[in-house]
Amino acid sequence: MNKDYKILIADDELMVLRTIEFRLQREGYKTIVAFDGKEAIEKIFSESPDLIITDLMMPYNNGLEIVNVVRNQLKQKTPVIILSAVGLEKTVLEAFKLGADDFVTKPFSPNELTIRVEKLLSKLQYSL
Amino acid sequence: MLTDPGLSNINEGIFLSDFFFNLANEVYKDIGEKINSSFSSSFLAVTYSVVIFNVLLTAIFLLWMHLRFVYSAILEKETEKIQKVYCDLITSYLFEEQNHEVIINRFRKFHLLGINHRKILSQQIIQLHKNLSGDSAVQLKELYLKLNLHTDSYKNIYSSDWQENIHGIRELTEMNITEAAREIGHLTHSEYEIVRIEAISALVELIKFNALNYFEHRKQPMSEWEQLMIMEKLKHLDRRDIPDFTKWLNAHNLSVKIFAVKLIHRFEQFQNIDQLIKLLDSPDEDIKKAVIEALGDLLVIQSVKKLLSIYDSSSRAIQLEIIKTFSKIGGTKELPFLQSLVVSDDYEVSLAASRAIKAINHTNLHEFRNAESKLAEKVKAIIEHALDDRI
Repeated sequence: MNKDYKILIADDELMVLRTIEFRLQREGYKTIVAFDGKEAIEKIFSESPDLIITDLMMPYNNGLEIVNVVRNQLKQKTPVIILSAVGLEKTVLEAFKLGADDFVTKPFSPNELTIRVEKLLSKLQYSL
Repeated sequence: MLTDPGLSNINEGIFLSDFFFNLANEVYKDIGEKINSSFSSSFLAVTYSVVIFNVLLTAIFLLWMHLRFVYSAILEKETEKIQKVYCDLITSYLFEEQNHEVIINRFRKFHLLGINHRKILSQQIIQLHKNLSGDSAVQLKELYLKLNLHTDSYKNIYSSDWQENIHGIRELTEMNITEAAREIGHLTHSEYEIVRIEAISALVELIKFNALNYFEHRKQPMSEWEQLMIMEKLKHLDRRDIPDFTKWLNAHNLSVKIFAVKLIHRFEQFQNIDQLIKLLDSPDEDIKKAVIEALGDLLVIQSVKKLLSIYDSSSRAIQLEIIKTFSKIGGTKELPFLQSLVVSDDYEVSLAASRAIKAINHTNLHEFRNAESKLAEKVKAIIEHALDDRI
């Protein structure tokens, strides 16, 4: 599979962000990081990532707003994976309604997240 | 000029008094000036010293504030720098198995020399552990143990500061150090309720239902809040591991006994119903109340006879509880008894009995109201109230 994909990871927790980044880089993906929703939206516009992994609760703009920007403002089909804490199922449903592709509940397995990323990107490859 | 000797005496007197007045004036003026001048100079000296002292104090305070600000900024920067280094090392540890020993040695040799560094690393590992599951969580626990970070958490457990106790409990629980159960168990006897609750909640997470064994020697009473918190934690455990709760029905601690009744109730241990019924003879009101509630909710029809037998000797609160329970487990046999209570002078007893009759047989209450023509208006109103489905 083409590993030149650029993945945006948005999370306000440094450790979580670096763990995902490290894991995906080891798989050969290019990564961009954002520490809050505002930075994430800026990077979506400036870097045009191929896949977005975003935490649901972040400063400035939350995960839902990011999905909204991608689907309704940019009208893009970029796959979006939502990371969320347990107990936010209602919000996750809302994210799906807005067009999110997948969600992973914290605590999560970085290996499992990598598999989900691969799956979504391979779908993207076939659809192109 | 002719002078009156009397007048001359008066003049002489006036002259003398003037003389003394002037003399006194002079003397006092002199003293007054001296006092005035010395008073004003010392007043000025005091004022100046107060002003200078205040200025100095403000300057020292501002300097101290500035230094504090600079120090915390430097500390924050330093912490950020350390966090970044640790973050890279931790993530490498998670995904580069071949470098495990190298990373551990690097931590030991260069990084974990100060308590502050250990604290930062410990916090980072614990924070990440909260967010990760699977192999990564296992690796994090391994790193935490290999770097002996758990010893700092143990120190907190033994601290005399209750806040540190809670820190220690939370750290060991988050890292799933089941071996710490004994140490945490000591804190179930803490003088602080918040520590006791934290400790028992942690034990439920670490050793599941075995945590309840710490109640055997419990001296402090369990508050309603503590019982609620523990019940909430136990609710999520695997039901296949539920122990027999009757063990704690014999506890010396009354609140533990009551909690055991609630556990039998909550986890529906029908095999222990007979033990519960025996507790209806307990002299303690709270135990009786908890048992009656449990018997009602578990629909223990065989307890009706016993409940009826203790009714007359019970307090009003227990009597009310029994009547309410009859609305769940009472049958047509209990209707005459309940009807006799409807005409009670006690409003609450009358209403509870009416409601119980309605729950057992709705039409019976209607018939009772219509058949008894001699019923007082007050009782009729209570029955109407009970029959009103909107209330």
